[in-house]
Amino acid sequence: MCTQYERADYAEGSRTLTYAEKHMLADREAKYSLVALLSIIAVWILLGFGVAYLQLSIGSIPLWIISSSIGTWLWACIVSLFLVKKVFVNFSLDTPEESS
Amino acid sequence: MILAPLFSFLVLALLLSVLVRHKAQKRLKDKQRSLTAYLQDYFLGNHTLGSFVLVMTTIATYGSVSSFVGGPGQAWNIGFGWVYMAAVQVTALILLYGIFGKKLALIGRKTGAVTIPELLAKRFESKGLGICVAFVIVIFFLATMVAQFVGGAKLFEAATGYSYTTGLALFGFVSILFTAFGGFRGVALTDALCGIAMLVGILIFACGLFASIGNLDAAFAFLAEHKPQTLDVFSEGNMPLSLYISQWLLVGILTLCLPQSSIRCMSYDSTQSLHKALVIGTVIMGFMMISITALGVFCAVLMPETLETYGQSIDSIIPYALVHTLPSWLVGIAIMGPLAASISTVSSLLIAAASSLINDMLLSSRRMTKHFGEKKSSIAFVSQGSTLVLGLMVLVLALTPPDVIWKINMFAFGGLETAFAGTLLVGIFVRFVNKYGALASLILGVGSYCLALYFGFKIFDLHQITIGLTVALASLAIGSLVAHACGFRHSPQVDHAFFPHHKSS
Repeated sequence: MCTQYERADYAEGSRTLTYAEKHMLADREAKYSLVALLSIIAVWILLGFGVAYLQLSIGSIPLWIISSSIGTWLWACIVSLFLVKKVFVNFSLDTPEESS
Repeated sequence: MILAPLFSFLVLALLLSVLVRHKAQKRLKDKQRSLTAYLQDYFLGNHTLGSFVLVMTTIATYGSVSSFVGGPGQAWNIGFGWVYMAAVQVTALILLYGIFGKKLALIGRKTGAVTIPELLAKRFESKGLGICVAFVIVIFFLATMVAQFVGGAKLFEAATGYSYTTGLALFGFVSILFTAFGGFRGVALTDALCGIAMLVGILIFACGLFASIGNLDAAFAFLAEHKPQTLDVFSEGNMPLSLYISQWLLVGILTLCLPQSSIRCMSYDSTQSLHKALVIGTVIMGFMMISITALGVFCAVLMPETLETYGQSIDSIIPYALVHTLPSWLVGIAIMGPLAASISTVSSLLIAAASSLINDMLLSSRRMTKHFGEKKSSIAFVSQGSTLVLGLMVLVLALTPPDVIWKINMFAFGGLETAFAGTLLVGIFVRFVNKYGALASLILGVGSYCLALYFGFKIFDLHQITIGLTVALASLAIGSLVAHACGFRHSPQVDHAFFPHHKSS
């Protein structure tokens, strides 16, 4: 993850990133997105197959039906918020001339 | 009366696209007008999409008529296992924007690439590869577009009582027209409209369905008694583990490779827009895909008989439910959801197929580039004309409807994912792979996928995408290794644009 200082640094434009540095950040964010995917898969299995195995229910509604779909969705929303707030960095997408 | 919402929507979309084109032409006249500037504007929207339009165009492209008709129809038959499977789609935007979002935006701006085939041609320094990729795109997009038109027209017929051909002619022709006029930016804006129509359609359908069903507890008790398989995670054998794994690949993980989605990563204006789109998109995507599929299961409470009673095909379930749970004036608004899904997917695929045809096939020859470079006004005519002709071709093909829409959709999904998993996903991130590996991956991967599908060959009962993907990735690795061993190296320009952060570049 980026430190708070680094994120503010890039966002406020006090440090201009080179084209190579932007690629490094993009690669790093891609890796975190993969980790996010793995976490969603794990939660999906636990809240679906895992809860179905326990045979819990709320009234006549089997719990796995709610947890597997709404639970996975909520987790994905939390993960996307985490990525945007703590991992992803803002920078200009235009390529500075120095790199050409 | 029932057609009024559809008419209003189509007129609005048409006006929007005319306005967009008018503005674009004015802008291009103001600037020094070049061939590249026109192509960038018509086929890519000139990197100007904000967060809302970006997210809605991505979702509307991804969510097709199959998500609104075929998927919920399957859920009616299978049960909540199908909803559990639909939940895997919540990962789509996290993967697309997280993995490709910035990478493609940076490379697209640096290289000036307008399409995914052009980007790959530059990455692998091979115009031949670009043409092959463009060809694959056109073929699979044609199949998907036909399925979308058929799905939309069948729904129109079932819900309104007008003929299949009337529906096809009406919304098909207008969507082709506004795509040809508006170009990518027009498509993106009308996609945003479609996305809103999809959400409204789901909400109206949900209200009508739950008003008819009444008590939710009673609905579950009814399902437990009459259709117990709908409450089982494996649907009593109808949803084997292999199907879950296959669908994770097909509609979950590999969807980021779809060129109609990944091109959107080259079209937005800033990283701030991308970040907002990621959060908003995950919320909307989850709501849309999970709710519409779950509504399909709840239809079983009102429609507990066998499939024959409701028109022999799972594609008839949702239209039947719409007509029988809503007053006719509301049916007109509710069917806008699935029709908008069909229109938005077709328009996005159409503009992408036309861009492949013009930018990657026609303009791949120096002679043609020179010709259109000198006669700049004619490229506008050719681009819009080819979009129109391609669309009309699809319309004619859709006059003879195939049986099950979601199967065609899955076929095209799998084919495109096989083609682009190695070339695009690996090619953008792994410096080592080269054009020989990419060509082998494309040809052998897609070839083996189509052959396996044709002969019904499966391994461990998994979908044929696993065969295509394995062959594609193995061919990429082996082809690249052999070429590397023979001394092939890509030029410094590739390192400079695609891998500037690697030590040796």
